[in-house]
Amino acid sequence: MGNINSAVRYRQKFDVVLVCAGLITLALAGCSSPAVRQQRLVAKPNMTFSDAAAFQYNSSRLMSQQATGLAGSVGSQNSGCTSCR
Amino acid sequence: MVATPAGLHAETTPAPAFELPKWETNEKVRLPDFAGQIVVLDFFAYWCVPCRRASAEIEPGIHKFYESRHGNPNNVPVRVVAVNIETANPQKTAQFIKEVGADFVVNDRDAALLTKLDGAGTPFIVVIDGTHATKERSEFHIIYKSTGFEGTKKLRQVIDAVKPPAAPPEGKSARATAVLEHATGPPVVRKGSVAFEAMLSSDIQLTTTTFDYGQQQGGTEWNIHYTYSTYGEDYAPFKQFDFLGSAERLDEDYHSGGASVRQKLGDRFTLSGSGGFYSGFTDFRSLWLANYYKQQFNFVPGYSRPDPQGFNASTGLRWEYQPTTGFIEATFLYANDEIAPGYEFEPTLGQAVHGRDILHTYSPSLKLENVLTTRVRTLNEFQLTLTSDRQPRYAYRGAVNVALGERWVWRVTGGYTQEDPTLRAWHVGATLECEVAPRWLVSVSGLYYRDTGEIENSLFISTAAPGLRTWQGGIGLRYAGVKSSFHIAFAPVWSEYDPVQVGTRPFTNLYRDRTWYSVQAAWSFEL
Repeated sequence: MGNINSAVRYRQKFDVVLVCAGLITLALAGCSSPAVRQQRLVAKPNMTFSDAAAFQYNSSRLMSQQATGLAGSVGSQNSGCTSCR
Repeated sequence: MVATPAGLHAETTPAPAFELPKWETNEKVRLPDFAGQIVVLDFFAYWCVPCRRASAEIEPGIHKFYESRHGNPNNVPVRVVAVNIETANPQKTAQFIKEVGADFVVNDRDAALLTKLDGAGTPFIVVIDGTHATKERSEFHIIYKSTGFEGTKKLRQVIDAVKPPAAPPEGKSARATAVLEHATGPPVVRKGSVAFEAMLSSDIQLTTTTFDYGQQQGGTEWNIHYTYSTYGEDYAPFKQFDFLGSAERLDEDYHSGGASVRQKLGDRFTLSGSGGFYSGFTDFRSLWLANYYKQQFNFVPGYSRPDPQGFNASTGLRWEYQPTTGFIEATFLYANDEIAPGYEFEPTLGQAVHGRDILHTYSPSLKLENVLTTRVRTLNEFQLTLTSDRQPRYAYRGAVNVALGERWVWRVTGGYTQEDPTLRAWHVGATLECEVAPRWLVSVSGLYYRDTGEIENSLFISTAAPGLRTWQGGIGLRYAGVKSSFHIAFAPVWSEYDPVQVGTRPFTNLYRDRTWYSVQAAWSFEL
């Protein structure tokens, strides 16, 4: 029973986190953005979310083999369980 | 990147009058000064990466080209005016001008003219027809506008079509057939990278190397990649529960490859597609577990050695709903994985039986990238993963990049993952980076990860990992060049598992605390 209550609380917390993150994201996304001439700092290579390998931060494919919550959407690696039936 | 997708606006609208100071001399330059000429305005900023290529091609391909020919095929003079929208840091602007060879440069303070011409980003190219204008009559028409550089070939086509009010003398138009020689189409950008990573502990050594190459021309971009990984493990059975097991060295390889294509659709949309395949174990834990089953069941009927492999395909659509500052991308992925299953002995059949060995995964995701202020850029990603015989997995990942100053960048990342009934995982990390010298950056970073353990299954022996905590701290060095960049980083990682449950005791030596040393090196280049 304790585990079920704990799981329910976790679920509720996650739902709140997810909704808040979504609302904040949408709200901020609609705000006015800086003009082109004001984008000098945000246009720097280390300020963008570049796919270039030399500009990755804290991005470890090997780490995600162990910490599966870090993994991207790769089927078996993300599934986390190799013998579930 | 500041430049937005290229867009051609073939229109003849009146050009707004302007009066801009010339670079360094402050001499006033007015639109009426170009009466009877074709004017090409090339808006740039020194920090705009694609502007460098655009301006470097426009100078020889348009300015010098038409100067040597005394105008277009109809003898209309052509002038190129490079318009600088960034008036801070004149030394860097001067260096930019020198490197691209710009000949005639003016300042557009506060980007007022760029705004008046509805420029959404840089580079921004405008062609103005002044053939009907005189000193007394200001009749200038915009005949071409593009955010993004489409190449000198497109510009020459526009320029060569301009005729003065009076027809040129006979014979001069013969030059028209030659003007497209040596003209370039949209610039071709070739990019590549090599990335290496190793994670080393006393009994497990992991490496991975990825080669990546791609090309972008106009609105089309393609990319191919190949990854080679190695696993080295000192397999050690937990003798209290695994009486039959024996210690041995495991060495395995992993290969994967893939390709992707992105195609711009109009100004604001980009369609993408990708596919990939792999062969080998996807992680060191599944190799360890597969070896346990091999040792237990190798001579039991029904057992077969695993051959993990798989493929995936995805498609996506990106929408730039706010020019240069707001992007949303939806993707959908399908993955097919042939995994190394677990085994148990079925007495009624007299042989070993295994769990599911083919997994189908369907995963939609949504990604939003925004420039919120002059110093803050954010990335938010929401992902749903549906894998065979499992509950849906929900994941959120976010990052905030903050420019603390001219030389300091602070990045915060975090994420939360949930899969019923019991898996909860979250992480938080931060990186602080400083430009200690021009193009040289030093960083320190940290990452904390926590999960509640994976899905317990119904087998007497469960391979599911117990809860995990990891701490990671690191230092990095980066060189951010114009055509080439590299990055090296070193980070110790401490991983600590919760106590192993009874059903997972055979794998105690797999799920034990470890100290890892992580090394990363990457080189990205542009040809």
